[in-house]
Amino acid sequence: MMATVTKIAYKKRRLVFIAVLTCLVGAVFLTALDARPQQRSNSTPASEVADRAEQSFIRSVLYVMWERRTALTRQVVEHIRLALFAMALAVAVGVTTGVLLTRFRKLSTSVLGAASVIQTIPSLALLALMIPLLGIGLIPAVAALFLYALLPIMRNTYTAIDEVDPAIIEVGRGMGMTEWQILSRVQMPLCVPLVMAGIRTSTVICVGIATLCTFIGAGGLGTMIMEGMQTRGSALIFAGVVPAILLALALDGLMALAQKVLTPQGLKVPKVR
Amino acid sequence: MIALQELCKTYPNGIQAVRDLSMEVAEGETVVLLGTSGSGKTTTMKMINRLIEPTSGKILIDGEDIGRKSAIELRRKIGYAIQHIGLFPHMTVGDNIAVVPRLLKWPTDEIDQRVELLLKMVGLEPDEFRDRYPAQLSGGQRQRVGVARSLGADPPLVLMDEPFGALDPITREQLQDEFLELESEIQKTIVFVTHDIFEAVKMGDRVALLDAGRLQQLASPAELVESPANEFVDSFLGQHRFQLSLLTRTVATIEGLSKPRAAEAPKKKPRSYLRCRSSLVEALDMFKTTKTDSLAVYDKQQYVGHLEKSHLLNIITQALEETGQQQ
Repeated sequence: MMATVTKIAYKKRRLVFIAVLTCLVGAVFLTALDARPQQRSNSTPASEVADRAEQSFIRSVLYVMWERRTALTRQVVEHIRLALFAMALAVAVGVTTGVLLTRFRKLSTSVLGAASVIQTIPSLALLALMIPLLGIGLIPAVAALFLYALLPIMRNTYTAIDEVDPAIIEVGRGMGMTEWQILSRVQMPLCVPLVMAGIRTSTVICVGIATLCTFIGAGGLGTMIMEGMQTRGSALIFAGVVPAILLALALDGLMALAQKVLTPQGLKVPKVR
Repeated sequence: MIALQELCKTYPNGIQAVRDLSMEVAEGETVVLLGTSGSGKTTTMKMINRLIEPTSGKILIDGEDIGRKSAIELRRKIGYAIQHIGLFPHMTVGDNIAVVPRLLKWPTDEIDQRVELLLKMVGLEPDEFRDRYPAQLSGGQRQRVGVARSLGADPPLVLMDEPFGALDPITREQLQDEFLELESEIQKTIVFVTHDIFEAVKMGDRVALLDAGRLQQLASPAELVESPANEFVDSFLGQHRFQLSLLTRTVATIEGLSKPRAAEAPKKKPRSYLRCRSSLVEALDMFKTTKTDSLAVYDKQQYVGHLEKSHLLNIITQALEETGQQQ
């Protein structure tokens, strides 16, 4: 049972990846088609930049990135900060709530349902909603990202604990473990793989949506992408998009590593028969 | 050692799992709770370590009402093994066995010694198996670890819920034999739950047959088979009665062992001999493997006579005819 759920979570994560990569390839295609007419009407500073690096598109992107390295570095830092703050909060709240929900089952449907509803709000709309509530800047952005990251973590924690073999729990209880010992020594170690899968999904979501946080004044790589969009400077767009994708990949890789390290050895060994 | 007194359990959905059950289990005895599913045997067992609380009645262990003690403390003093084994997959074999000793905060070196001893006891080489994970074991090996774990903190009382249920027949028989051997060495009080009457007569000093939450008969395996207390017991034994009687009748019940003159009594115990508590099936097996016509019978170290093969076969034929008439 648990394996199937992990597989589903894994598939979903892979789906996000494939989606991101498809977008990237598609964008390259479109901008390549778009690149020539833009070079002719070089009226904006961004296309001037593109003009100067006439040779190839990739070089022009790299050139923009180099030229704007200070801004880019700042935006990368802002981006990471947004994602990490939100993730730290989401992990703390999500895992705790997930565990608590297994103790108060009656609440689980409504709480998980509420989290799912939040998930369906378009990200731009959610960010906009934060303005009347929390104003602009880092705090409302982190709050919005946190809300998005919450569901995968909470749901996976709940499912993972819920699906630990009842025989194992019963033996633990029968041998004289307290409820806390059952949770900390048996259920928690066993649900690491699935919880980590949830955290990975959330991380990718967070890094992705963080590009929109520029709209409510929280900075991040979205700032550069926005600037590129406004000036029709595809090199500038890519100077923001590529680091955002690399960031998502890097953080996901980091989480994958954490998942591997944290998963108890006994769950990783090959089974006999 | 354990006294169940007018125990009742009614589940919230109105099902009466156990009704007015009273029985006692003596120190060092193995009592098998036997019954079909829904007979209340597992419920009864789980009330002993308070995984289930009785609706009324009480259970005394060594004269103390367990309802008044902490359930956690109580459970740490009672071994527990179940059909699904329930080994903790994230812990090594050694860590699994050490769970209760660790809960009781034994010193580390004592735990290590205990784990080593228990692994040897259940026939697993400690150096080979201590650091393996449950996923790396076969079904039989897992079950052995389950048994070893239930004996972890050397509890005087062990509860076993169909501990060999999930195994193939050959492995099951092997583990049963090994467990009997082990049990004769460690002398624990054991409450053993099963739905298999053959397992019950094999493992139990006494068998408690339950039906619909009521105790139908509590007797030694031989008594259960020879003189069923009521119709239910009779029908439960069903067509297995003949086989069961061969399993439960011991050599001691055979009259007319041939007694050679004192001078001819063997001075030394021969290599193969029968014990008074050997069953007729074991006696048959022994005749088959030794290919002799007569075997010496010993009650512990005391020579009691010789059993002739023809005599044993006569008794079996007789038993066969008797059961044929009853049916």
